[in-house]
Amino acid sequence: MNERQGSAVLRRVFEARGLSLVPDFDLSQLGAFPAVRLDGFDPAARVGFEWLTTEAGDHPLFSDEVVAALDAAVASGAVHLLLVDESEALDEPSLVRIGDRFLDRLAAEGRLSA
Amino acid sequence: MRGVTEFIRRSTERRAELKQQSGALSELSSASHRVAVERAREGVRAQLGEGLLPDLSDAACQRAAAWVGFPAILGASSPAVERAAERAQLEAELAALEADPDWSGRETLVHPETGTLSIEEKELEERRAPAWEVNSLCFQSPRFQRLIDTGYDTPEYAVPFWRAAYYQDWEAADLVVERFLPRQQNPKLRFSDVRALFLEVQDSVQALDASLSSVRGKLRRIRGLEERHVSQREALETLEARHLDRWRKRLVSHVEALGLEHQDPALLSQPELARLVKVLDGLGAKLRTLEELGRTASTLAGELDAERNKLLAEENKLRRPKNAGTRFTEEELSRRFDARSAKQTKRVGALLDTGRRVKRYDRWDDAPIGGSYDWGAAMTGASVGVAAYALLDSHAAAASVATHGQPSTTFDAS
Repeated sequence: MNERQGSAVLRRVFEARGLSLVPDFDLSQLGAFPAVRLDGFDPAARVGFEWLTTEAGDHPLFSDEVVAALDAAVASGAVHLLLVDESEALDEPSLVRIGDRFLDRLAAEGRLSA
Repeated sequence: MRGVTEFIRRSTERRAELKQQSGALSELSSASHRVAVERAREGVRAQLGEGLLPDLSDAACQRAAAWVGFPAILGASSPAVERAAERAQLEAELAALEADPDWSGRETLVHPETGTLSIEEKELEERRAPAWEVNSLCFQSPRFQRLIDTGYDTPEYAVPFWRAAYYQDWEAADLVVERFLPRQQNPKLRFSDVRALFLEVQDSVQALDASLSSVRGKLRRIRGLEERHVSQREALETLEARHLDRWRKRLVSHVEALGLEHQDPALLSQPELARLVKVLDGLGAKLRTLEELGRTASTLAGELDAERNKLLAEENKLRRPKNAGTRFTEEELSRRFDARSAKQTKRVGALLDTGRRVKRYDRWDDAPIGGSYDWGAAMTGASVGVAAYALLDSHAAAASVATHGQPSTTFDAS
């Protein structure tokens, strides 16, 4: 799947859970976060996703340092992001399952009002 | 005056004639006749070898040496000496082989049902079979090795839940567990249980593989001894026949190298052998002559094909509307088609006729032992020096000489 297709699949999954995603969201707007633009993010729920593709030139932007900073932010519960790399070679059903399981997990931990 | 239509008609006829002649020449240049001659030569070589040396007795060797002047068969490396040396070597190798403890005990070691090594191999294979099964079930999942390496379902597993890989690992692990469930009779089976089983099996597999490798190495060695024993026995049993064959070939090679002129006059005391020597020499000459004729035919066929292509190109050119008014005198057409046709037909016919005569030739007795003989002249019916070259124009002959060096020794052997 390319950038557009993968993002569209995840957008559907996230919006099906009532999230209002802002496309191309600049995470640094929320404060001390890396200045990266996410493919879909709900600023109110602080939940979103990033579909990393070569096509969109994501890999240089999401360097090891940036990803480490995002990992720390997610681990602290400040934001909740699902990171998916195109190199995982996922098909659409797999991507839907992954999105659902991620959101199930957030809901189970009380971080998402299902 | 004649027009384009007449030119094309005569050109088409000429092309058909050229095609037919080129086809006939191809038959002369094909290898089939030469293969038949070579086969006949092999048959004569075998007959001559048997006639010269019926067996390897001293008397037979002495007779052969006298008939064809080949003292080597009586020297320090005579058949008797060579055979004795090889026999001694083979017998020594067999004795050493039979003294090997693995050889003497081979029946108790490698018998397929009762041999101790065979039984041990089977037992090891049976013990290893479950490991094969476990590995097979695990590696049906392409992600299995990653699950082991990342420590999935152990405290070491560090992939966070916000990464897609986390969920892919999860799904892959679930599938692996599902495959093991029917065998493990444990409804609460987890991936960590499968992982423990897999790692345990790998340890035992390594030990079993080492034992199997050792047992199979011993089995291979003993089977190698058996094969060596068979081949050495066979070499011993065929010693006489192999040496006889080798000496016959050496004698025949010697006779062929001498040619008719330098044969020992003593050969005349054996008319049948003398006849075979003549046949062998003559067949060699026939082969060379056919080769030369084949090359000449090939060259000539090339010329005919080139002329055919040229005519076709001219016809196509004349068919263009702008050339419709072209006119030819009868003399021009005659010179263009009739004169050339007659000349080439004569050349082709002469060459094919020579080829037929050479193929039919079998008057081997005409040649003398101890004197020179011009086989080429005898076969082609031409006088000495008249050969296929004479059948070609000077430029074709020059091309042939340039390609093949000197003209055929068959024709120049005067």
